[in-house]
Amino acid sequence: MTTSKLGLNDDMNQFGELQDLADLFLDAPESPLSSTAFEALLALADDEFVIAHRYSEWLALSPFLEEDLTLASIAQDEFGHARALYSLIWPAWKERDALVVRRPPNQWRSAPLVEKGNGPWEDLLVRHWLYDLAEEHRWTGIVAQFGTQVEGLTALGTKVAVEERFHRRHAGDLINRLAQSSDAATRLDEALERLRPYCDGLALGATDSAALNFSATVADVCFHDWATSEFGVGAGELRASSGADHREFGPGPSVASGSPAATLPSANGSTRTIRSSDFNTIARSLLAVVAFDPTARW
Amino acid sequence: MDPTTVGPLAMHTYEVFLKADGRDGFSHVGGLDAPDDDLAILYARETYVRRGEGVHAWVVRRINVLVVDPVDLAVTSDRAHNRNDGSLVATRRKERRNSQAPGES
Repeated sequence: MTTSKLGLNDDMNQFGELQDLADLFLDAPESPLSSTAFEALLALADDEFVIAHRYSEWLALSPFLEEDLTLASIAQDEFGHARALYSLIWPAWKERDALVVRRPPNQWRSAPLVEKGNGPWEDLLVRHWLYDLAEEHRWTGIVAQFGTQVEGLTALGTKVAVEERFHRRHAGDLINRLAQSSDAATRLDEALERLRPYCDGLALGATDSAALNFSATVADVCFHDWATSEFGVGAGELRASSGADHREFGPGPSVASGSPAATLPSANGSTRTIRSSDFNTIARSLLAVVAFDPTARW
Repeated sequence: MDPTTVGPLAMHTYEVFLKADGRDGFSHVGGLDAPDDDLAILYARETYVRRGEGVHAWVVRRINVLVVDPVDLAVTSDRAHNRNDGSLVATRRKERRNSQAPGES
């Protein structure tokens, strides 16, 4: 087994460190979608599911009650988006919970950014902001590309857009406030540096240029200068009122060879079959009940 | 210095009022803590209006609520003559009815 800088394992097809759970995994059924639509929708669905799982690990641990309730609500939203996408991917499959929980690691398509284990709370907040900033473009892109061939995707995208706007507002408003404290801004900047290497794994396909270059989008972000940045105080509302509630993604600079990001999947879809080592904790958590009682139903 | 009470990260207490669809007015549903007005509105939504409990909400910083001195209210507690529920009239009519002989009107 070889492990990259970000802990990506190349032998997860053989379950890697999850070998003891091999009997519990079930192959996913065939999907009626085209292979490109399948890979893109599954990547987004699994990202939504895994980020929600990471949020849920913070429940009852947030710094204050109101933030805890809000994070729980956002986690529920993301679980809901994942569930809706799974139902489009496998419309005939009735037991989607089992399908999600028991898929073998190589049949997941989640990105390293969402699989990464939780660190301190500032990491959760910065990842929340990064993820939802990218997500707006990913939902818009996937609906534009596959909306006509995947029934129900366009309607789902419209519903999701409302909730995602709230998610971005939550992350942005909280950072607006925290960045006014020098100590807090330092912690946010440190969190961003820890997360930067994971930013380029969010693409949903080879044509997803926005997500392919996502690290370039946030390359200039510094929380000490947040208030005057394009993402800073009031910037989101100004963009919303002008009808352009997102920044335009350019092609961005290419990732320098040898940088940490260069060790990430090339984001052409196929490399999303590689799981990071942090996925093991997710799989063990998801399989805990069925490992205890294989006949359990929910 | 406690950063939760002083400075940019100080928390403030807000009171939340909701109005359901229809003719009922706003009712107080509870309070919350938030570092600023923007987040107070977000937290109000997630704390009190998660399941469509209201269609309008007021979020008021508690420090802006005018509080009446309870002493000023106490003097009104024994003013039975100000109660306009009709019970005094009903009692008198009943007494009069009972004091009348059968057949009298």
